[in-house]
Amino acid sequence: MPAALACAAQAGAAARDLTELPLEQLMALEVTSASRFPQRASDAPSAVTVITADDIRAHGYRTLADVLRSVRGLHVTYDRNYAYLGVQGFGRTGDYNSRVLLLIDGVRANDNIYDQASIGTEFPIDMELVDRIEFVPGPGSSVYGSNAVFGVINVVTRRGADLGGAEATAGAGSASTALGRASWGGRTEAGTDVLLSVSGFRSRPGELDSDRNRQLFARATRGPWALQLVHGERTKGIPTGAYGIVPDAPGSETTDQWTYLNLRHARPVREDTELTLQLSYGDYRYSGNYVYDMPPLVTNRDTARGTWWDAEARVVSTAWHGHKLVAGAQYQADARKDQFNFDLAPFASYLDDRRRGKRSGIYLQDEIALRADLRLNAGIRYDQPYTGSGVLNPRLALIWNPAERMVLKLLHGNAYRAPNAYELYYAAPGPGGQKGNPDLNIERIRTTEAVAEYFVSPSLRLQASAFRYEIRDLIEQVIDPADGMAVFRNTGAARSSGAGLEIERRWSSGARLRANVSAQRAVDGNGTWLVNSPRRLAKLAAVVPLGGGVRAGAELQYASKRRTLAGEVPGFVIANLTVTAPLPPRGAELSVSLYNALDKRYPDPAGPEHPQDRIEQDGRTLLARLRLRF
Amino acid sequence: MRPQPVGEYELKAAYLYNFALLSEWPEGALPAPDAPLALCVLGRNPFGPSLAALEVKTVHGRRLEARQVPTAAAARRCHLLFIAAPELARASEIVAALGDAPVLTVADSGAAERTPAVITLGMHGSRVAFSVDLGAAKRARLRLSSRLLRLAAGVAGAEEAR
Repeated sequence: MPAALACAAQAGAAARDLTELPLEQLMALEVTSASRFPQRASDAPSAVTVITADDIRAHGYRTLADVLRSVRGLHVTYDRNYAYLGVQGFGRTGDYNSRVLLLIDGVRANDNIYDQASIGTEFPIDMELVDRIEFVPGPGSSVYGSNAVFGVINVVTRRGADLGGAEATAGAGSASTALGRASWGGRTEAGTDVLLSVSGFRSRPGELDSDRNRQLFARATRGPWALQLVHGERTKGIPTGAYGIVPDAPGSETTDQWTYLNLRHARPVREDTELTLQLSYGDYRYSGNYVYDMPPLVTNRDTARGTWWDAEARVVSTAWHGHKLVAGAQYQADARKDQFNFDLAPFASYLDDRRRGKRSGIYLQDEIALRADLRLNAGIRYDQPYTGSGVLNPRLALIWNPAERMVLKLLHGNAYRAPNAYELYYAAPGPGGQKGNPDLNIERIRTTEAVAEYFVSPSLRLQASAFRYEIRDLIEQVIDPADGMAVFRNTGAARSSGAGLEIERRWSSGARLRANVSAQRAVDGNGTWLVNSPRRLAKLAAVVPLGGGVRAGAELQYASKRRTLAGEVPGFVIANLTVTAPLPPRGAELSVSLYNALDKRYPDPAGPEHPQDRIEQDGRTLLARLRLRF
Repeated sequence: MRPQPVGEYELKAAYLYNFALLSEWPEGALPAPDAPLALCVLGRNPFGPSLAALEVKTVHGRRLEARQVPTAAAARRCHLLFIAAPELARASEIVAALGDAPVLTVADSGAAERTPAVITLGMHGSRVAFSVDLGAAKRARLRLSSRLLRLAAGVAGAEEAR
């Protein structure tokens, strides 16, 4: 899995080396870097955040969006249909998260029509199946290619052996919320690791604001082989009257369906060299029903279907002394990237666009030990996108240990996003409609980041970072003055600079605290403050054992005011509280969560497709969950 | 070249590997000749990827397999059980639940105080040290090599083991 490039493999390689030493020598080694933290992320050339399964349980995180809200520099916007991720001040409304790369166990999960990274209830994996989530901010195109513009999210799932039997969760809460999960996992004597799980969820905060999903997860691993299936489908009512639909008529809803199948073969070809071969299949189906009053009421259906195959080969080697080499090649063939738009009755077709495509990339990364305390991480990737000419994205990082407990990193890199099928080909005729633009070019970002990490003690970590990025040829929707139609053009530019600070403390009692603040200033090419760009974010998450195995997880999250398309929304602070208590029989657990516990009323900025300028968020919500193990 | 900085749990993972190398399980603890040696963690896994990285190793000709176990009852099928620091308060309960199951228990303790586990892993300044309880080893029907005992910072329960 490619995410291992960033951090996991490095720690793993080091551990392999240590086991070569006899116990007598191990006893002479001094511990210099602190690892009371779940993962040694310090080796990654960036300010990585890792959220573990235990954090997810302690804080009652329901979705990937909930997890990401706690991460430094990120903010999530919800328009009562999809959740949108804002990164370091860039969170323009109407973007489907196409500027972050989402990986599931190291495999690309963004679809091939909108390039969207799904993070709300449409994300197809239950958070209770997650082992950890890593957010790697900064440009990732030198390894991952397109979309890794602002960062990479890697969702790593649990293994069957981690469950060691059956698990079930049942939950109920306010807004007619009900959820359930049944999972089984284990490892056979012969060494086959199996994990099977099904989940379902529904909620209805408002008459038209219904939300329901179903999910399936299956994986079998044996020796070097792993086969994994992920499937999820989610249907969401549209309560906002988006795209000019009748605001109070039932029947307007979107369904998003994701299927990922992945076969992986990973094995050491030598003591110091590992080869990974991987074949993935992805299928994404979107179907939206939009009820318009013509009159009479007519249901317009907007659908898309994307199917793709992705083959990747990668070698990680430490065969040369002082070097850690990663080389890989990737080829993606899109069997389908089709978009349709039609009225159901009377039938009228407005769009029937069927496409195929292919793209490929090769990459090389080397981490060179320049001195005992200084490493250089250099990577470059060449991509041939679906359309247009090839693109080269380098990244350079210096990692310096000036003192035993201190790590300084300096990172400079480029990343890009290729125009997607929606931007290139979607067209809706008529006045106020939209037209395609097959001549779109890629958009590019250039980022410089500095990170300082200091382990005051094995249980206290401080991290400071500063960044600056510039985007050019930004793809944005504009109105063509010639015909009044909306069209995507490479007209935009944006730049942002900012800084962040994080402190993490763990106590032997199991208590822990993570607090971070970030400040950023993001503007467009004319120096105008970007829409949906908070200048200050602050998050605090604490887990406190209350005795008898009972734990409380408390969170405070602050975002300062944001500009909307027509005005501003004020800043807000929300509090979340989760209490978890063990129950008999052993392994059972009751968890009660209060989200937005202080019932703060606050809106998020709306995208241009909504009639309103601001969209009200959920007030206080209660959710109780019972977890059982068999 | 000065050795790379070593993470506490990277180092402790290497210790676990060595503990497995220097211990002998009773006959019948590993039925099939190709059955893996299960390396389990009870409680939060502090090792990150270092534990799974041990899976490329072999001990007594057997593969190592890293697992996370939810309860002491599930740990009876483990060969080596690492009791993570947050679970220390329950260590007596866990060891009691294992009974005479041949499980090499290793408790992660900040200071090298005594725990009911066979091996207690602690920090001695910035170095990792461990102590051994022979009584607990005997109850689990495990034989620890003399090299392991020699390197231990403390050996308890020698009378009981005799």
